[in-house]
Amino acid sequence: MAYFSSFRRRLLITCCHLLAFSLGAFQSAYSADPPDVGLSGTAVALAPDSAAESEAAFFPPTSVFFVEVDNAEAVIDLVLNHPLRKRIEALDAYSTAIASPAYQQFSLGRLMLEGQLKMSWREAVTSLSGRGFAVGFDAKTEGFAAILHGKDNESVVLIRDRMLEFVRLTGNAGQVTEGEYRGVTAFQVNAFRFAVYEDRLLITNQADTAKWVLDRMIDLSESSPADVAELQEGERPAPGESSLLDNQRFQAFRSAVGSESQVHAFVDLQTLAEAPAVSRVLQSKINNPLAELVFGGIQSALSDSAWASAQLDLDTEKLRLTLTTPFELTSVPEQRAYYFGANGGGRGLRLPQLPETLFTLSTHRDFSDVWLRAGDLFDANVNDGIAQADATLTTLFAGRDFGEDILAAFEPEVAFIAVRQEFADTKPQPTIKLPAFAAVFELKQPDSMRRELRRTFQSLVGFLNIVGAMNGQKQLELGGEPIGEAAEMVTSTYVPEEDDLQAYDAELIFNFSPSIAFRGRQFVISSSSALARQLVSEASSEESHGNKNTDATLHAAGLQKVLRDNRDQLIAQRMLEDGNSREEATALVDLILNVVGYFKETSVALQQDENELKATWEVRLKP
Amino acid sequence: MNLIDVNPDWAWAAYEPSTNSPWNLDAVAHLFRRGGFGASRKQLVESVGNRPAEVVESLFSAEEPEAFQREMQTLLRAAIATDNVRQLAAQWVYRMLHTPAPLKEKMTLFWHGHFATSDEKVGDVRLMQTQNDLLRKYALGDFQALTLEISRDPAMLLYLDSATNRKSHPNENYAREIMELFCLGEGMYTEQDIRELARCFTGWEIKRERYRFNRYQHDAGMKTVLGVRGVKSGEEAIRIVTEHPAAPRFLARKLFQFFVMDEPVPTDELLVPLARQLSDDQMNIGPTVQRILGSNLFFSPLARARKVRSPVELGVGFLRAFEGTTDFFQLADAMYQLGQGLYQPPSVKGWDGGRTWINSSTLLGRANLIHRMLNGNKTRFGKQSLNDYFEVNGVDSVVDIADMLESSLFAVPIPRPAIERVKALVAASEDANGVNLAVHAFCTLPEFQVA
Repeated sequence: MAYFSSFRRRLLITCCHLLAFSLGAFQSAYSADPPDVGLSGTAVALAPDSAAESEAAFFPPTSVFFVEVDNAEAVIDLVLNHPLRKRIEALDAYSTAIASPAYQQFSLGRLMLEGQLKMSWREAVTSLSGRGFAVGFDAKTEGFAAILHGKDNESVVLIRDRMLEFVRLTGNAGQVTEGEYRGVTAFQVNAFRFAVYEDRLLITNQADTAKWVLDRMIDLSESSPADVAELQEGERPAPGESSLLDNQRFQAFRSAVGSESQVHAFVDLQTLAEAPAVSRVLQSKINNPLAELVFGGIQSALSDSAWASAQLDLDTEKLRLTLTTPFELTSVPEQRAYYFGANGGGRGLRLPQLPETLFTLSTHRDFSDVWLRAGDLFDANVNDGIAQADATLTTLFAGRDFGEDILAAFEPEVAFIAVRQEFADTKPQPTIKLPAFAAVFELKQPDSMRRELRRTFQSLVGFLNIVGAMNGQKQLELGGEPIGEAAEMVTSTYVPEEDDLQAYDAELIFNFSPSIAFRGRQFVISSSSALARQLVSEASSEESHGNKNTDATLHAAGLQKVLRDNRDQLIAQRMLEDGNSREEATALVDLILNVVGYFKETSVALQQDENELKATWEVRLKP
Repeated sequence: MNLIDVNPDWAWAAYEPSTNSPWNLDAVAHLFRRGGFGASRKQLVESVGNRPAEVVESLFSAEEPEAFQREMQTLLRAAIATDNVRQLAAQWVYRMLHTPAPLKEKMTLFWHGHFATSDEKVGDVRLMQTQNDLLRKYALGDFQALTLEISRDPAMLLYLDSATNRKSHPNENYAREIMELFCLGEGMYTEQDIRELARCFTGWEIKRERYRFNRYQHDAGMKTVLGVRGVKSGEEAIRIVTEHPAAPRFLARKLFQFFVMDEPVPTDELLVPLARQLSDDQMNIGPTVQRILGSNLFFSPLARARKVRSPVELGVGFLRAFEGTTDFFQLADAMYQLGQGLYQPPSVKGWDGGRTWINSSTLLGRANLIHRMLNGNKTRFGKQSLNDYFEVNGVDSVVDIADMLESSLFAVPIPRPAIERVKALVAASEDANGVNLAVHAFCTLPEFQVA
């Protein structure tokens, strides 16, 4: 019966998947000896080893998306020889994973493919794309194109032929069709068309895109075939027709961000914005207050930008993704002045460097502005919600207008922090140990606002106690303490029952001791009194934020400790969710803990200057 | 033979294998299904080599090792810490599946339906688990002690709106339920008995999620409960209620229905030996359950396939049969959807069981549950796919699958035409995973719905 040969069947399926992947990644082709001829009318020559030797020369000027890996071999080398890989391979869990049936099947499939190719997969990848790799989407022909720049024509053709043979061997010969265009043999497998020209492999999903790129490759080649003259009018680009390299926005992108990163990508926003769907995304209201606070300014910047870029940099210590777009402060509408500040100089608030920090975020957002301009930023539904919240908060603040009087009393520079809580000497200890978190603000008029905020906090605790008592919840006890001469705190602490006094498995609420603290203009509201105390006791970091509007960092050491504090709960969760035994769940959780330990931190930053807006995501490894 | 013709002495005498009810794989599977949640074929084959009494005894002597208990404590702490009843239910399903003492879990489930309390009203998983631990502690133990403790259990009293009971206004809720639903059954008491019993419980309060006796609110006057004069305290009243002659009859009937058959309703005469044993054992449950599971009637054809699988038995039994494991959150949710939400019985009466488990909606839901388990990416059987599990166990065709299912999961033979239909279904299917298709098809048969 068919299904009892399951293993063999799965193996075949695996192979087919690998093949499909390989075809998706490598098939198609054309190659050209590295063209060194300049193209009249283009700004960039295609000489080998030139910075201008970009595969962009083969993409239409109407390409709206283009991503290129200049030296794929180096990238592959870096990934495969990365120190992190060695660390992961040293883990017991890795040995277990590669002994698993799933991995064994994958390995067997890979071996079969390598056997068919008569070379290792790494050699195949290097031969096929070691000198570069590019993918683009052309708006005019509405097609994707991928160009893999291989070692030489022989290698690329060899791999192509063996892949085709493999497809035929797996009983799919009928799916392969063959044709010829200007002397170049092209193949089609399912939706993909591919052809080899000289040392390049072209893969596309559209015939028109394929023609355009092949014409370009043939025409730019030193060994341009003799049949050029035989082509009909309109079948090929006129000599000297421009490529993506001549697109002004692409040129602006290259001059702004260069091409030094291992991977760089370009998006033609101006052309894309002509598409109604993209235009809607860029112009419509976000209608979610939190998303507005995060993305509002970025949306405004993008809606007026001609292009955007992405660069990926990878080395043994870090991975960095940088997104860049031209930025003019004048493109930001008045209602979004809250995002960048009046002169575009909004920066985040500096925080003290605390031990066992898990997460920090410092940003510039004028919350009062957002609140008061909600009518311009959001639709009626969101505004109804905000109006209700405004009424409640105005009551809580004893009749003072929440937007005008309360939020406006804070400077727009704010910071948030989360730190691991140390329960070593504290009881009761909650079963699930959450990090403490706090928000830090600066008050415009500390003298008057201190009293207001202190009283509101006390009212809030009283209110929570009444509601809690009605529901049989534990009660908060208010306290206060001066810290030195300059700072003061108002604390609240849950009062444990007698049974809880020595407990190590107390309820979640024992993670919390809501508190506020003041020092000078600084105002802290924290989930724990210990964190509030630390924040008003320690001096803020002198480290400059530079021109960062927003800077968020997740610290791996803090994260690892918080996860380790809750190891038993994570194991239980995995047992129940994955159906694992305790041993399996423990191995998985410990693997996660180990892997987290290989990282130092990851951060996201948004920075702006007069000319550009840049978002950076960086992952740093532990040395 | 009909149930009405059964001689009670023969019925509850120790099982003697005979031509009509031989000691074979089917008999062992029947025992493990009713006295637990089923067993793998390997376990069945091992057990059939032992004497019936030994196998029954092994169900009673099974204990959870300390390591397993620690594991369960880890799961419980996590569930309680999150205050999430879904997680609490998932951990219980995990326990039912993996416990080496399945009879104890089965009895805990029995008491959960008997002393039904739902988190939907109590709203506190810690209290729900405290009650569950209590049910497990007395699962095969002293019914009188269990009734006394459950009468002071915060979850129970909160559920029955009996957290306060003042002498000026005796709360009759709990008094009514203890007589009607927990100990005696309808018609065995009067309204006056309820009022008097409620007076006995005055001063029994739940304050800050704990039981306390408020002596100032206790009616210290003399009461007459079930004809016994001079009753003062709640403890005394519980002893009188549980020692009432109707109590062992009531419990024997419920145990019969739980372990032997949903229907027909047994005669009082048939239950007399069981009731007598309960009474002789001072309402100690274990020996009576052991007598039921080791009896002629239990192993006779009369008792085979006479129970509709509950959703818990369906899900856990399916996995246990093939040493399976899955996403326990999803499984517990599915049980809830099918009408058996753990920690969330529908009312103080518990689950009606029997035919009520099946209707057009739940029948489809039961098929979907099997499908989800078979095709879920978290589901494994003996740490592998079902296909590989069957391959390792030498199951090589639709007929082999039918044979394996029949011996471990089915209470009646799978009809030959059904096997032919499944063979044709699999042959016609282009689905590479024909094993799953075949198992699913068999498990949607009406024959699979009975245990």
